[in-house]
Amino acid sequence: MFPKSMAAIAAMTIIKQTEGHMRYITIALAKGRLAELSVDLLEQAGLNVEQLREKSRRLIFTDEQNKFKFILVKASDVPTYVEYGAADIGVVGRDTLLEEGKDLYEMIDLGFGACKMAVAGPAHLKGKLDGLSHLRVASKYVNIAKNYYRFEKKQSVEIIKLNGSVELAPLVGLSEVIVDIVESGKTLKENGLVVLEEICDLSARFVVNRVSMKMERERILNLVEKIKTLL
Amino acid sequence: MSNWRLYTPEGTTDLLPKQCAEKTAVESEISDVFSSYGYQVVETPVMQFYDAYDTPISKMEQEILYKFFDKEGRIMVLRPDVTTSLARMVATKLSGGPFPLRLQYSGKVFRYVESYSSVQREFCQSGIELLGVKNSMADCEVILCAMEALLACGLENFQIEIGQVEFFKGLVEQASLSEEDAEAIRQLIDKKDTLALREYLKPLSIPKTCRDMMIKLPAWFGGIEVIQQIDAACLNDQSRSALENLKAIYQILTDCGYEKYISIDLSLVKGINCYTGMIFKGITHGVGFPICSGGRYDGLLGEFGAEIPAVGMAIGTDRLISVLIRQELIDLPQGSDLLVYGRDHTQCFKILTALRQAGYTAEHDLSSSSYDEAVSFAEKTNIQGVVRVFDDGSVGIFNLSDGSENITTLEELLQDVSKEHGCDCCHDHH
Repeated sequence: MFPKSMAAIAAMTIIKQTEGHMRYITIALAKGRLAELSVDLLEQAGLNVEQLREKSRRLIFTDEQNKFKFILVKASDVPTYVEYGAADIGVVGRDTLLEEGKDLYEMIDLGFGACKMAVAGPAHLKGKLDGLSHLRVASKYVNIAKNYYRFEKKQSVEIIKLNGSVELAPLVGLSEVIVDIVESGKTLKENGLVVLEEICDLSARFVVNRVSMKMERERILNLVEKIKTLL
Repeated sequence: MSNWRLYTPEGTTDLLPKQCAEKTAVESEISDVFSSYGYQVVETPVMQFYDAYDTPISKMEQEILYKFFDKEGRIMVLRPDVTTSLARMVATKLSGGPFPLRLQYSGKVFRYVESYSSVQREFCQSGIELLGVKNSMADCEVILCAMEALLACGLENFQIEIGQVEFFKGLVEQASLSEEDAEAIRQLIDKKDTLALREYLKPLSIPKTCRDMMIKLPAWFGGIEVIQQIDAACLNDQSRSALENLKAIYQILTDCGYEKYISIDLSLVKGINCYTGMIFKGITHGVGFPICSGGRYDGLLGEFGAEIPAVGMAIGTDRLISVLIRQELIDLPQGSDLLVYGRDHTQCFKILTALRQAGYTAEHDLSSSSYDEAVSFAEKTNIQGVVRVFDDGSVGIFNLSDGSENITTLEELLQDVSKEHGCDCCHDHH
């Protein structure tokens, strides 16, 4: 007589899961030169990267044979996509990893994109930095700079966030030094700056989400092993 | 000054009826499982003294704590977990036993996490603590209980990875590493950064077997073969008994038919200041974070004055719900059973009372100007049937799901309803 629903309300309806089909593994690549190098490497590792090679404005590409997806994101967003599991794997520079401070597995040092993170400034400051009572540091990498001074130098400094052309800051008196990536040192030299302290070495890393590593262990470890043999 | 009156603070959220229904359903499924194991529900205050989180074992980074002062100038925190306050409660109020003591809780915890992330700062945990027993059976029970709770919520495709922090601690002991070196190595193992780990270990003068084990540690996860391949002869007692404990846990859970849900991960080395034995994490597709975690923490209660061994775990209910939604495992029926419409409101109230006593959820139509309007309201709100009280006392029942209509009298309806109700009573008597 009445619509039956008591039982339905009392218990949660549980829908059976669809199982059996292979999941896509998603790889996040940092747009730009790093992506090009990564694509070469992934191709050598046996993935079909044809779609990635085509000139287009698309952001998602697939390798249907091997069930891989590739997404192109801004370098600094790669760790975020991977941490949340939106991508299972990421290829990104160590500078970005250090700056973003995400909780990931750093499985492989890919070697390419090698450079250094360093403190740079005018040559006359060489060896005198520790004596300055108030040091202003300009950088795109505020977290790296903050952690370096806090944990390694044990020094309180003023950090100024800039978004580009950081070398300018000491020249116009915005800061005493900068923390930035140094590749050849050419840009520094042209602006009359020198490396004062080296912070760490940088290069591209192959990172994996903590859950994906376990849920897709075999396929991810296979790829890791293949890539390791290529390096 | 900006005005925030229309917003919830970052990392907090309102739960609308549908979300609340999901949360209630999931929490009650979990709690029912806990209760079936004999875990009794307890509560601790959301506000705690900061000091509880400032002992060597219970230490939390102060950056993640929500802190404020009380009137006497003492530092207060919004609890970042329930376990610590529960440990304090047991150590100060229930230390006399009898043990084992099984306690469960469900409540909100608060942690300052990075803004602009989808991680909530206020979130819910449902968990258990098994106090007063230090053996592998207790470890097993807690893992089993976690798995049963996840299964009860409909989650099928998950993995529980089990580690043992004493294994790593034993290696540190054997290699006589300094605190700083041990922490640096722990971090590298945790990140699976084998290359940096190898570089870090190079200049240290430690036994070769220890070094080799540490380098291999990040790769030691998988099935039971992970443990079987380790040469126990070159381990110290601490590491060896850690492996024995893991083996025992794995064996029991396998024998009970849970092998497909469990794996071993010796590189789980997080939270080692608190944990003193088995630790585990529950993971699944769709979220990049664990949905539950737990472990043995025999030292924690000692910080509050009673040396009582303990093992426990917590499920992040918000995360679990988002997984269930994403994997399409949760579908709650919405809306009440019946809507009662009529102009004679006294009759309506009588009918409503009778319906409710018979176990139906029934709403009173308070504002519709016509029957059609009442039906349309019922459709919008997923109410399954409309009871129409005519002026002559007859009653119509319209079933929205199949479109059927039934006309009866008020007396008959009340009789039918009370008969159903009465039947239950009779049933109980026999």
